[in-house]
Amino acid sequence: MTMFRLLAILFLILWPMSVSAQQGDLLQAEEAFRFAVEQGQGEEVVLRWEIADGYYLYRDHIEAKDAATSEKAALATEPGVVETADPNFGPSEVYYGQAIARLGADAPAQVAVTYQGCKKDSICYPPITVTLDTASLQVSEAAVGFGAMVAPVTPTDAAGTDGFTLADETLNGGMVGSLLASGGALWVIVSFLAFGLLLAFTPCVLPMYPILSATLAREGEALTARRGFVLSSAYVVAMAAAFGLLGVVAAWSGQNLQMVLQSPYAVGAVAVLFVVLATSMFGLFELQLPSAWVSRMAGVKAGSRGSAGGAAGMGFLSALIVGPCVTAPLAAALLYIAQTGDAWLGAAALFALGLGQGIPLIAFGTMGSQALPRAGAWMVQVKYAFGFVFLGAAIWMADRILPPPATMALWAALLLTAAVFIGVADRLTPDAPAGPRFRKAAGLAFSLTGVILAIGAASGGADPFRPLDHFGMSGAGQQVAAADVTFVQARSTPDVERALASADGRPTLLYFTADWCVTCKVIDRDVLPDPEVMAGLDGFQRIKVDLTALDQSNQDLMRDLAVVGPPTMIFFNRNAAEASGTRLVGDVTAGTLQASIAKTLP
Amino acid sequence: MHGWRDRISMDSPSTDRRISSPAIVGRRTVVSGLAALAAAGLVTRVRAADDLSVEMILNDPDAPVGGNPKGDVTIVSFFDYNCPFCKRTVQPLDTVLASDGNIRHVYKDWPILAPTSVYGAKLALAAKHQGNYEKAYRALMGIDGLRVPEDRMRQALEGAGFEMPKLEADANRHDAEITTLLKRNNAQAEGLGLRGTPVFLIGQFLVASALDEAGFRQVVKDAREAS
Repeated sequence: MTMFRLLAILFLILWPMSVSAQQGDLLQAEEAFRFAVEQGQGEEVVLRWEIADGYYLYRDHIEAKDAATSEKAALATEPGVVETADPNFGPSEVYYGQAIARLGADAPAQVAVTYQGCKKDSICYPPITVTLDTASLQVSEAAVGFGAMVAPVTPTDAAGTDGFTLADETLNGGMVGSLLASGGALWVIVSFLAFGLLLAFTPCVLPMYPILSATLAREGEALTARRGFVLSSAYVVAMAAAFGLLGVVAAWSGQNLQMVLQSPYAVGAVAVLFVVLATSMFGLFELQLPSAWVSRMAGVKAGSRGSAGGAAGMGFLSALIVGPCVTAPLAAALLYIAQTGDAWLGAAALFALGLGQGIPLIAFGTMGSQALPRAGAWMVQVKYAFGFVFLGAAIWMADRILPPPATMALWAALLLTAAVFIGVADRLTPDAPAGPRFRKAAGLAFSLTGVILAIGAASGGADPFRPLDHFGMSGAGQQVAAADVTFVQARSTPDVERALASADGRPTLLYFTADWCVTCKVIDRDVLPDPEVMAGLDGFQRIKVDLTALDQSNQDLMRDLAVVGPPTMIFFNRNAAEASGTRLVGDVTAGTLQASIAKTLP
Repeated sequence: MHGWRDRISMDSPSTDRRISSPAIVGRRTVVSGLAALAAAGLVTRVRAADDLSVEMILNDPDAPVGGNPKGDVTIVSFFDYNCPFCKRTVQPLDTVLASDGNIRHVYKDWPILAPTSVYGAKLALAAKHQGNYEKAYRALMGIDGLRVPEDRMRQALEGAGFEMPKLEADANRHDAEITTLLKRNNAQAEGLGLRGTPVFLIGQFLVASALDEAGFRQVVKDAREAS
């Protein structure tokens, strides 16, 4: 091995010599075609090539362009010799010995002249370009080649803007492409299954646990572990199918279906559906709706065949509308589809991703079903509890389309109602045992929280976790000085280009978010206020793109930047170039954010 | 010095006796001064050794290989799909490879003559990912002309049985790899001081010429004798 390395080094030393010796009889292109310019008659500029013996220039390949605009400039060439000696050439007109071309009086000030030739029966040279000044007849150094090794075969739309450049990996099929290269399609799918498992406990998937439990609880006394397994599997497979559908739709329309579905109508309809399901848990149907319609819609009858279908429908909706989460693997798969048009591999990968995310759900559904009480008065209580879960889910959905105080008022109402169900208004007899007393205490706690929320809502508060924050009382003792990280808004590609152009040497963070984006809320609450993150972002120009309302201009921006959905953070350095390996999609932590900040700063 | 890599002649210059055809590289003339050159050039060269090593020129795992992969002589060809002399060598080289049966052929796509050369090279290397590089190579080399437009390349590939949407998708999917390979080929060619296409490295000889059948046989014979 050492011997081999030694030899390798030896060869490297010897190359230039061997080559120069070899190419002693092969001229440099500039020597083979000696170029000169002279003033002709009148305003005419004459271009002259002295061509070495055995070499020739192609007439068709002598071209002149305005160096400033790249527009063709008129160039008169003389007839050459028709070279037909070789069938591979096709008929071509060439010059031996000397070539002459003339630029007219109307030639631009700076002309780029390109020419190309070969040594007969030996090699062909790359094109050579010289730039000449038509007034002074000065000629620049020759540039060899056409300088375009990197252009992709079919230019993708994603790359076509002047105001910024994206990282290579963003434009190259990224993760899926490299997985495919390293292990084939099966490897891609196995990897996505694993990614799904890793994502199973992120805020995207967590809302599915109460929804699945509530769906299972509707089975009532018929619920067994086996039944729980069947239902949760139906839920998960439908969820995975919805992910796969995302891929197919992305290939077909170029859009992320999840985002399109975040319309007030779809979100409102799902919220209403949750309310209907909740009322069924409370046993209130007969008051409201024709029973045939209700039982078809919600599959009330425990153990009826429809309930697996119902669970599947719920899984489908959960993936598309309830938990529209853009994660790094999802984004990678959608970008891969957009760039290659290969919908099948992309959709299969997304299906695997959904299955991976759902495997813990299946385990949870199966074991949870075993743990739930089977019969008796408890069952009624359990159904009530999950009735509240559905109502909570409905409010959580409605949060995306209602003003914040309205949502808070709904939370207040829900908590107060729950308190009543727990028994806050029930009279405790003096000899009541500990159980009912604890229940009453819990009910009081719910009521108190509900009342505080109601006060917050009535006075215009916005954050259910800090309902009285707007009274300015929080942190009074410790004077939290840190202001929030502030952002300016942008809504289109020109907006972003302008911002990048006027960044004043600062790097730029572009943050795509939306009201319905669960993960974004976590980022806003936990990650951005981190003191080190705030310090790191201090020198950045910070731009936020709100995707809550999709329109043509922000969709164009997403396409130009190859963004699949929120949350996505793109880091541009001071030259408006995306630094490699800095883009954050989906789950963002203080650690990953700081790493990207560090990579973006010079 | 006659060889593009001359490992023996450094210590035994008297064995320099090959090369007859005028198409082939001239003899080594400089042996002295090697040590000085080595000292000066060592550091920078070794750093670039990954891409520019003999090993990578002969055995780049991404470069397509034809002929007999276990052959005792390796021909490395640098070529361009707009290069008429390259096209002229395809048939004679094929004949020699087939009749000799013990020559390994390494393809170095080096698209330098026109922008469409890059297009062709990328599609051919995409075909490698479908296990069909040589079919694409032959189809593209079979087109006459100096500046073959992209749609004629597409027609030729379709004529050879490729499904263009799939091939283009593969080219896109592997664009990063393919571009890296093309850049590496280019770096190797520039490192060798090549000035145009075609160039053949045959054994230790470097031939910048459109060899005919007899020419290939001669240099292969010389290379075997020299090794």
